[in-house]
Amino acid sequence: MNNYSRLKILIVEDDEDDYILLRELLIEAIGEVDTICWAEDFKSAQVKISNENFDFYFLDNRLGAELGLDLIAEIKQHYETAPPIIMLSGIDDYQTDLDAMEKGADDYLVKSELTPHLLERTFRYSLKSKGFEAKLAKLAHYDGLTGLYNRSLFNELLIKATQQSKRSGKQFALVTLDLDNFKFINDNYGHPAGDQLLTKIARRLKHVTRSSDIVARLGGDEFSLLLKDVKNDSDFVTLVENIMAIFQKPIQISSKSVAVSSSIGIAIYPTDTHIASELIDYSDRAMYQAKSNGRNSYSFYNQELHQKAIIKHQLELELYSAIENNKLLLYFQPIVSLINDEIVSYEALLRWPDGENGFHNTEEFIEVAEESHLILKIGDWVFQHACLKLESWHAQGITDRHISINASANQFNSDDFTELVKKYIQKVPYLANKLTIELTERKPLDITEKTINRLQVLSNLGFKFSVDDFGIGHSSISYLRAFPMNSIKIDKSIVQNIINSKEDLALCTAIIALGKALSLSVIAEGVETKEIANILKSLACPYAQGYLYSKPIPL
Amino acid sequence: MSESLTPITIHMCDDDPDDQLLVSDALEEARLGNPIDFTNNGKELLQYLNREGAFAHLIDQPLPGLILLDLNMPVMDGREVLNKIKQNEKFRSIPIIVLTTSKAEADIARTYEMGVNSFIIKPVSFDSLVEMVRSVSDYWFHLVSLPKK
Repeated sequence: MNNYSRLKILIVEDDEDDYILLRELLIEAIGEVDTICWAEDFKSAQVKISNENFDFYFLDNRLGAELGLDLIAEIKQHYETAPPIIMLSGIDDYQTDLDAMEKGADDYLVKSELTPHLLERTFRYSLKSKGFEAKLAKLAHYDGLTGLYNRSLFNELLIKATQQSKRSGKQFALVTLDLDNFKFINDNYGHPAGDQLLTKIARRLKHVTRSSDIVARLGGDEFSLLLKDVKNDSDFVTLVENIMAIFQKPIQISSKSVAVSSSIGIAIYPTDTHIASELIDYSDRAMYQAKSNGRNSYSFYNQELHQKAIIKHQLELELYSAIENNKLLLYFQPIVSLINDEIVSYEALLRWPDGENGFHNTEEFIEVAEESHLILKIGDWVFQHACLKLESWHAQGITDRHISINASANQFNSDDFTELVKKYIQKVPYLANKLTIELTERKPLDITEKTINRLQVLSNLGFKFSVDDFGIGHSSISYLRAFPMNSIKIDKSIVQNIINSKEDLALCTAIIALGKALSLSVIAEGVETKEIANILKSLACPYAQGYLYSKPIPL
Repeated sequence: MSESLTPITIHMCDDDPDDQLLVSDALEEARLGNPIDFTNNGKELLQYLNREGAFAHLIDQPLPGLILLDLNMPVMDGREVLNKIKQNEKFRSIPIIVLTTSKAEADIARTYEMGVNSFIIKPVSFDSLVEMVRSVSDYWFHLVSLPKK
């Protein structure tokens, strides 16, 4: 059996003849290998080094104006233990030899002295010492029983995570997990069974977490996790409940099914503390809190945050179920022409019934939905139900009604929403001309080529777009220019103030003029009195919406 | 020699989902690119090999190059399905490694008689499982390099 048949080798060499010679010598020395890859200059070597992993590197030192020596660091940064790196040189230069060793090369060979025998020996020795090095590194960083990180590497990764979060401003959780009945299992089934249990739990933990999360076994039956890049506190609850869920299924050890539970403590960076050692301490304390709460449970270090996160998580679950069970409603508020008071369109507004008569606060639950994937489900739901309403009007012979729906910027971060809309419109093409999509200025779309294209696709189908809550957000004229907008809705806080505030009156006048100049329709929102309507008429504002005309009603 | 070969599919028949996870993770950890698929008992394994029932869609796929078989399973255990496989002309040449926690000598003797290629006691630690997967991997490479009939 050829020991080297699976090796991938990179040769960095700017002289093609030298490359061919080395290649032939290599094959003579160690037989066929999996791949011998050639990089003919410094640049292409950099590309190959960062895109691929090799098992062996040969670097010629002279690469035009660059030095092969400078590639060593680039190789090393991709590995915990870098594979062997052999420097090649045209001349036997002691200083280069020393430099190469200093930078971490494994051997230094002079081209004119290369023989198959020498190469074979270099391979054997460097692979052996590397294998040993890698084993040592593994022992130092990993827990052999479970294959997870060990305490020492976990502590390093924790410190790294605090530094990353400091830069990115993102929070992360340190989760401490302790099995509730491990001692009982060890005592009653024996230590090998206990070990088996730990390896299986380790795999379950690995599979329930995301690849960006870190899972470690600190010793005994104690595991620690870093849950990174979490947007909001209720997401922590979701992640931790996923972890709790792995204990619902019994675990087979020595042909018996055993039920295991765990107690989990959670501390959050930077909310609880920004010091790594304190974070460990806090999540430990939270874990003991969970144990004293009756085991098989979790606890946040910060109880107030715990309560808030749980309430929010509960609201998410209820909202999810409301969407799935079709418990949401659309109410409609007319948009009227200020010239003849005729209704030109209806804005569809989402309502979520709460108990017998009331509704949940729409702004509140939309905010919760915006922070999770639920807003996408809601977006789809609203679109489909607005379409169904238009179709039912159509069936009744009412063909002149339009609807505008509210969409979240998140719906345009992927192709999913636009694809759904396209599919629907293929079936019922006339709907496109009857729908306006309102995008709020509060949480604006990112102006990227992709989002512009997505809007353009819908615009080409006949959809119209409107900027909602205009005048109070951070977006600007560039927003109007980047996206295919058809109308502006002046935010009600401005409209309702035009009597009392000269500034708001001026702002309103300016927005109406802006609309005219850019050929955009202008709709004043929140019109509640005749007085305001009259001023708007005098400013030649074409459209209005508000309680003066009608509150949102079921249609 | 190896560049034209596609890695064989490994099939694991084991009723414990945790053991399935362990072996597929160990394959990944050992950086072996072999695809792996699973059945949960001997009856399913026979359906899988015959490309019947829930496995009918695999009809055009080559048979696995190696089977990892657990002995103690519900519905149809490893011993029974081994007998059936070895009696079948189409399947008898597929190498089988019995993975089990049982050290009972009778089991060892019986499985060897049934033409099992290897008998491995499931290692407890993840590291030794990765080692095991690595050590049998050379053996798999020999298997794939055999000329096809």
